[in-house]
Amino acid sequence: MNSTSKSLRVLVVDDDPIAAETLAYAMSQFGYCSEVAGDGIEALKHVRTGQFGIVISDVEMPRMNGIELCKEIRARNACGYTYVILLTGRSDTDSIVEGLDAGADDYISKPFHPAELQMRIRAGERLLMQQSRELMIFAMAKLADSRDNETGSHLERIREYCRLLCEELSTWPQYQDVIDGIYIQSIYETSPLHDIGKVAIPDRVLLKPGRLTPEEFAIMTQHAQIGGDTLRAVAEAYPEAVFLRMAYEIAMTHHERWDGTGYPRGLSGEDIPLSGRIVAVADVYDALTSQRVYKPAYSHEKAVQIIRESSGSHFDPAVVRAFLILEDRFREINRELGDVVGYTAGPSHLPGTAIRMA
Amino acid sequence: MTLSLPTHLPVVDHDELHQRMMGNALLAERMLNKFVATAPAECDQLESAIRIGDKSTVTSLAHRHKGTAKTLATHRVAAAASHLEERAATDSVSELLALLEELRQLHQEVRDVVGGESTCSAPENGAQRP
Ligand SMILES: [Fe+2]
Repeated sequence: MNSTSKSLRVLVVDDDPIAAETLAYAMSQFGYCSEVAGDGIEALKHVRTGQFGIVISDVEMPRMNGIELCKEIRARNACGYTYVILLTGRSDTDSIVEGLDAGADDYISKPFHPAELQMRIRAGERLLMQQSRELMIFAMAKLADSRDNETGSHLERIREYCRLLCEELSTWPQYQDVIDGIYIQSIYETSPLHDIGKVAIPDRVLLKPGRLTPEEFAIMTQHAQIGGDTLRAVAEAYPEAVFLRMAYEIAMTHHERWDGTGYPRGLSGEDIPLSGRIVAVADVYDALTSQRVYKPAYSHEKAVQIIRESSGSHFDPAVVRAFLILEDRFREINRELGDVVGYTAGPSHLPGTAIRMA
Repeated sequence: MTLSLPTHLPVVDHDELHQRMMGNALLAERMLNKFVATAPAECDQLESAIRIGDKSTVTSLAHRHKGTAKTLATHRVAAAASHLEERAATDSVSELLALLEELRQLHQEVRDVVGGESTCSAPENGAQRP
């Protein structure tokens, strides 16, 4: 019985028709749609249609072999990621190494064992699903961010900063039980959503150069509550999705301050979720070192100074300590992913007035 | 010298074939039929490559044939093809032709099995989910 309800399509590449047909039959039994190509050249034509998430390829084939095929797929990664599994002889370690080096994700010995193949495909499917989720979230975040930040890489930097801070904190005894791999992956995926509530802020406030009036500032602060409420509704609808819960926490609390003077709820200390405290530091560092319509970019050193001085008032002292340990890495990411602007030494305002954090 | 497996082994390992074809006896039978139908042409290709001294083609044809034979759990065929692949670089045409002849005889054995009784002990509608 064939059941091809799953949307994932698998491309089987083998010059041996018997092996190819056996593989295609296995795919149909696992519930995947599949197509067969007899060599690498033919396979590439199929891959370019963008319809195949997974390619299972023999290594030795005429015209274009499996390793060359893999290189070609990696060289033109236009339609999203393609997961490549190579079929190799049991003892063929050279081609395994060569294949992985060419960008193959996995290999399986030939002839394949059906149960093993099914497990390997599931692993590929999981990776593809996670990747498409990540792309989807990031696309949404970019869309929201594009109104006030059309060309910048603000979101790309934020998630890198958050990941760095988490990786550091995860090595500290008091965070070892809290920050694990899933936590780090979740903050990397969801931190770009922190300002999603800005979609509800009118242009005259969002895009206003210079300082905001108290009334305008009040409107601006609503973005945290609006983003938080929206994401909370989604998180409640999908309670098993841990990353949605974190997305909600971050959107809601990234403007809370350690001393309780932040918004929207005036939470203080550890009542503020850790993810919100981490994003707060990452977001402020990025805001300080970026040029905005209402301010020039500050130097890295100036930003570090401001964050150090705000430890225990604005920021969680532990997160600031981690930030100061990682300071050089922040500078590197800022250089690598930075928007092209000139630094200024920064005006001699107090941090609260110099940056319009929102 | 021959690397072939002992001749008392059945030419097709039905249990393994059954497992490789995921319990589908019809598929197993169809694949074996396809194998014996295409084997003579593959051997002819091998023979011309051997006679013109095209060693790389001998290697790759023998390699592919070995893979097919393994997929169908015909281990003595796979061993013979593997032997041919390993010896492909030799200058002795007669040695390679002798190995090819051995391969052809094994194909005949498979053909006898396929032409005989059912190739699989599983029920005919045995398409099982894994
Ligand atoms: Fe914000």
